[in-house]
Amino acid sequence: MKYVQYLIDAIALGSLYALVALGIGLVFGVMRIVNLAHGELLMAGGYTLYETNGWPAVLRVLTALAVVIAVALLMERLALRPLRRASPTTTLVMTFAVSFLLRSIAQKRWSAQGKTMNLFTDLNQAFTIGELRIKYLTIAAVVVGGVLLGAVTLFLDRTDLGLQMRATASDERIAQALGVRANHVVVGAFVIAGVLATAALVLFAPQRPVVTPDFGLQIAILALVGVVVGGMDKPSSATLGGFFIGFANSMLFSLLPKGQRVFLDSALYGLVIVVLLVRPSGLFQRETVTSRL
Amino acid sequence: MSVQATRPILEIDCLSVRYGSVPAVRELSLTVAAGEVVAIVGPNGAGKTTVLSAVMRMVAWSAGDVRLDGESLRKRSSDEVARRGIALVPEGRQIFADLTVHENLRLGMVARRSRTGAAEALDAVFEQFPIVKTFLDRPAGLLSGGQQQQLAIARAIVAEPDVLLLDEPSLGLAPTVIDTVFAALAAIRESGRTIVLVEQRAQRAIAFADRTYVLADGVVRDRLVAADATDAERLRAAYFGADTRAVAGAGTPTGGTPKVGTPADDPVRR
Amino acid sequence: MSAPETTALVGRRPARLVLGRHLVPLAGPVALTIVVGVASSAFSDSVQLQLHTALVTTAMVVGLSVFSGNSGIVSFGHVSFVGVGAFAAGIMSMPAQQKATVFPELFGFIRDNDLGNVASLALGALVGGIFALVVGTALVRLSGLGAGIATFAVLGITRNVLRNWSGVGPGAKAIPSIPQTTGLTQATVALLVCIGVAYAYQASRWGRRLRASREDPAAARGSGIGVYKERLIAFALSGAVAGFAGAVYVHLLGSVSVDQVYLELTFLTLAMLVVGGIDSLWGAVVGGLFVSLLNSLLFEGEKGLSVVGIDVTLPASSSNIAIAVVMMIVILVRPRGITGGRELRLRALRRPRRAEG
Ligand SMILES: Nc1ncnc2c1ncn2[C@@H]1O[C@H](COP(=O)(O)OP(=O)(O)OP(=O)(O)O)[C@@H](O)[C@H]1O
Ligand SMILES: [Mg+2]
Repeated sequence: MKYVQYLIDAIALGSLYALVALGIGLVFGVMRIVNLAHGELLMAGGYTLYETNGWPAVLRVLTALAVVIAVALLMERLALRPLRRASPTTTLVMTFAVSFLLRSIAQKRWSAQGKTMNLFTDLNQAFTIGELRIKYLTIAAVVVGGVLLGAVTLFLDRTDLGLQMRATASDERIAQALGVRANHVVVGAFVIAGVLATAALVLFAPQRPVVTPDFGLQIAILALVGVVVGGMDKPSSATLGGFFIGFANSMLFSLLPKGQRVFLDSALYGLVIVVLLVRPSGLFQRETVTSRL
Repeated sequence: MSVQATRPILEIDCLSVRYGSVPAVRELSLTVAAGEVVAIVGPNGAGKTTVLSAVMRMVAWSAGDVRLDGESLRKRSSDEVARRGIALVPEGRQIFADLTVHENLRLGMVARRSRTGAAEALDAVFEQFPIVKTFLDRPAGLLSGGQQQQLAIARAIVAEPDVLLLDEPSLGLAPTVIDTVFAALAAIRESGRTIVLVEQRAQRAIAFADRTYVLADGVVRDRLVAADATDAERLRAAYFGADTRAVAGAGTPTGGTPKVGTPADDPVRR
Repeated sequence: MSAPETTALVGRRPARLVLGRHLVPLAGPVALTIVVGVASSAFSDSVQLQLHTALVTTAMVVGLSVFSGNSGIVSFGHVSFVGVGAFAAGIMSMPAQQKATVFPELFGFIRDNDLGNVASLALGALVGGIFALVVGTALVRLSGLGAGIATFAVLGITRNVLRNWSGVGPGAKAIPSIPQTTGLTQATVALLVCIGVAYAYQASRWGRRLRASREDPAAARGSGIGVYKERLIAFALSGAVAGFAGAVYVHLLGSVSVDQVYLELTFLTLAMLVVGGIDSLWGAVVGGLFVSLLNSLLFEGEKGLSVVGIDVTLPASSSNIAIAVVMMIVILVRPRGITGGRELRLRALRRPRRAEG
């Protein structure tokens, strides 16, 4: 029964990381950019929740959503759009700088001390089925995660913008020669990434109630690990990678004895390196094609 | 249909393009009148694809200008060029293999200028290329080469462009499929669209076009009209320059006449 | 493409020019270093400390540039090598009797021995170099985005291990009681040594080959250059320089903890390299000193002149904001950095860089 419990917890955490990973994967798909500042979207939302403490919950979530999307769009417009034709390395360095800038701003404004988000804390309560203790949050994570992933899939499959995003991800030059506006597609990707990040934030908030300048970084780095391991080229593989990393992290955390747990991060980072080495062109195939042009 | 050059729709004016330090197109000028069919032929590496890519703003210009209907495309990005009425059937077809045939066509419609008539345009394409309709929901990557080429042309014309650029549409196709392609091009010409046709299959292109430019080393070597299609010597000279011994099979894999197809296609060969 | 070729021609040029070719690019970084070093003695203690920090941080940037500048591949993981160098030198400089009580879990040979100043610096270089050699053996096959992410992962692993492995270091605690031997002389000399090593490498056969392979990988492979091998040499050497700089750094700080050699330092050194210009040694030195200067000015502006101590090495957040903004602006408007990615040259000696185009 213990293992079923672990399994349930792992699925819940996997769903959250899948949301973050899909956001990273979509942006990579249409821009060929690994956005190291993705986590700062969650951070920005987290501080918004802190600042709006006391408002009605729905309003707080909507405000956080608005702030996250605004930050995402500003990031794209000011820092990344001018680099549309730059090398992947340059944009990677740029997103690193953006990440650092946002964390420094947060540190200046709110200090390195954590601030409590205080959102949906009731979800931490649990009900029991036999020996299983299931938090409401777990249910929420799986349901919200599943619904959002389904919605994004439908969006990509059924809408014109979704089609254009897929076309851009597969061949940006040809898509544009057919009249697809790069900026629309990119803005679309950032908006969706913002929605997904906010959803993940809202579901993280009850279990990790304290937001610090590094709050988002920790989540996004792990999600990025998942994206790289899963494969960046397709939203579906990025999502699966994110789910896998969240799932594996939770499982290993439960299963490993405490002494070995501390090296879990190393194992995950090591996995990234191995995947990059063993399937280098498989994972970054498109990069070499587009960077020549 | 002999269109006497009336209104120039596409003007390429002293255009130069370089890849790094390598010049691919050098001060090239050519004009296409509305409703005209202009062919560009020339050996491998002549710069034909580069000219079309430059018109589409897919490669940067190092000098010169391109005008559509008198308006410079200098400040336009490729999506804007497409939405202003130039459509490209790229070299190697470049359909989206992971997307269905229908999705490919929907992407073609992104550049449509009028909100109405999309359904009619689609029907017209189905009529012209029944194969496209048959496989509408199939991933485009599963189509044969000839079917993919038809899809690529269909994708370009559902946008109802004023100017259609085609980059080697007959490359790698069986003769009967080539006939289909040229029949489709003839129908497109009848509908009044302007066509710029890049071909290595020179004779057929020259015969089909109102006028032909022979390109080599990024410059225009010669201009031909349809009647010149059988003038083998002139073509050869234009392709390889005066100093070249036009020996079939020597040096280039393309031989005396570049990428010659079946003898039936290429009267010069006989 | 012309840079390595012109360098290759050097051997056939008259001696005076050869000297000029080597002296001029070297003179700039050296002179700047000495000026900063000497100037520092005129200031108050806290300013001196900042200038010494500037020199040492610049040494780290020079280490990073040995790899990134010559290979064209950005590494996000070089602070790993700074970190292991710093920790090796730090733990071995801490007096043995103290170690036995403060860190009893250390391996015996680490716990029971200690090293003198110079030996600990050499140890830092050695450990940094060996670590980079090991890591590099796997990583040199990556470039671009893949290399960026993989080096980032190396940084994560290094931090995770250093933080949790109490057999080799202090774990989550700081190493205390490290002799503060890095002052004006050592900081200046250390940076000069790093500049000398970096320049010697860059001018060597290996360095020229690596640069050639960066500018045209296909041609380089055609001419028989093993790109991976050349990258590995650069990676290991730059790890050694970074480790050495890390060792010098702990002797400046007097104590060190894992968080001091993690993301913030990574950002700072990368910002310095990018701002100065990633392609040249001159860029690394100018960037390092320029950003340090900026950092200090902002810091002074914010806190007044009175602050001494460890805070200096952890810049206040507003100076981080400014550095991030400066870095972003440089990437946007001057992507090759403020030096334009060139070595310093005298006009008379300058020859057309882009002979072929
Ligand atoms: N992306 C590129 N990078 C560098 N050089 C290129 C690139 N594309 C084309 N070239 C060079 O530019 C020149 C013209 O190429 P282009 O593709 O326009 O020729 P083409 O006439 O279309 O040839 P083909 O008949 O083989 O398709 C050639 O010398 C080619 O090697
Ligand atoms: Mg071509």
